[in-house]
Amino acid sequence: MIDAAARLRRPLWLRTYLGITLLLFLAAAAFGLVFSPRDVTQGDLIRIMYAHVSVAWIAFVAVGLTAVFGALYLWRGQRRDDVLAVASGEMGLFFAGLTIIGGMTYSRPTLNTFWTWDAKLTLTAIMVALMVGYFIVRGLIDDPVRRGRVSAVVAIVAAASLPFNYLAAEWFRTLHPAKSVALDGSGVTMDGTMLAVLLFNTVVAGMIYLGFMIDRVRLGRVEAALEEERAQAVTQPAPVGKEVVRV
Amino acid sequence: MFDGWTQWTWVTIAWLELVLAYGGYQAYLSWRRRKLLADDAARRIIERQAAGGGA
Repeated sequence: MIDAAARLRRPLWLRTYLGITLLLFLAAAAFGLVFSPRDVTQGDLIRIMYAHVSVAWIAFVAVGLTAVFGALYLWRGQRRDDVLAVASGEMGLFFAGLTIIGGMTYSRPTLNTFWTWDAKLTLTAIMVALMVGYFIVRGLIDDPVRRGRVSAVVAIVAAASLPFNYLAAEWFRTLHPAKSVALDGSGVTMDGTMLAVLLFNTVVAGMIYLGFMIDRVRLGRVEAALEEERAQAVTQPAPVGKEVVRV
Repeated sequence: MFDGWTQWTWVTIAWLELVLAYGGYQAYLSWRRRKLLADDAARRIIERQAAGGGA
């Protein structure tokens, strides 16, 4: 029998880490809101960019890692890979949902619309829908092995949209601005201070992802252990001479 | 409705979304932990009763 309460209690190092990420989040907000210069065309609205772009990049990472852990589960069949996939999937949905809401908040004052069904936004909406589907699928299947396998396939399909999403602003006519920084660090078309603030915000968003992920994995491990314990209790034969069910 | 909003109103809303999301996810995880413990405690009571151990 596992001691769920003890295993769910956050250790000191995790509480410290989450506290540090919270302080860094406040610092990142201060950099974006106070220290960043105003943009020539967008004015103070550029300060939304730090919140929106950093979260969007981490959403991509989270969805991508969900597919990686899902693929590992399909390959090795180890429960811990499924636990990691679920945790990252939850983060992916969290950050992707935040990306859409933040994007709408950014889009209304700059482009005069909350939403338009262009390639970039539609692909992001599809990604969010697939991540919602990932959790619906998991909720519908009781068998943990089948649940892990089917949801891993959904995660891989969701991740398959990431390259198209990343390049959509270049490939298609879209209201969404083209990227200002390429993945290899080239093609920088923004002020050095703004880039530094954006990168700092992205690092902090990544640290928050990691902290939440660790917290969620610990919960997932206890859930998995309890599920296995329940399954063993069901399959074990009832003790002879003992009443099993009293009506 | 939104035309009269200043740039700083939008900026504030965008950053508040992050603050709410941070706090919201922490609250969600906390709720999940409490629910898991409550469900587990209830299951153990039922199992003990079923095994004849009493409540």
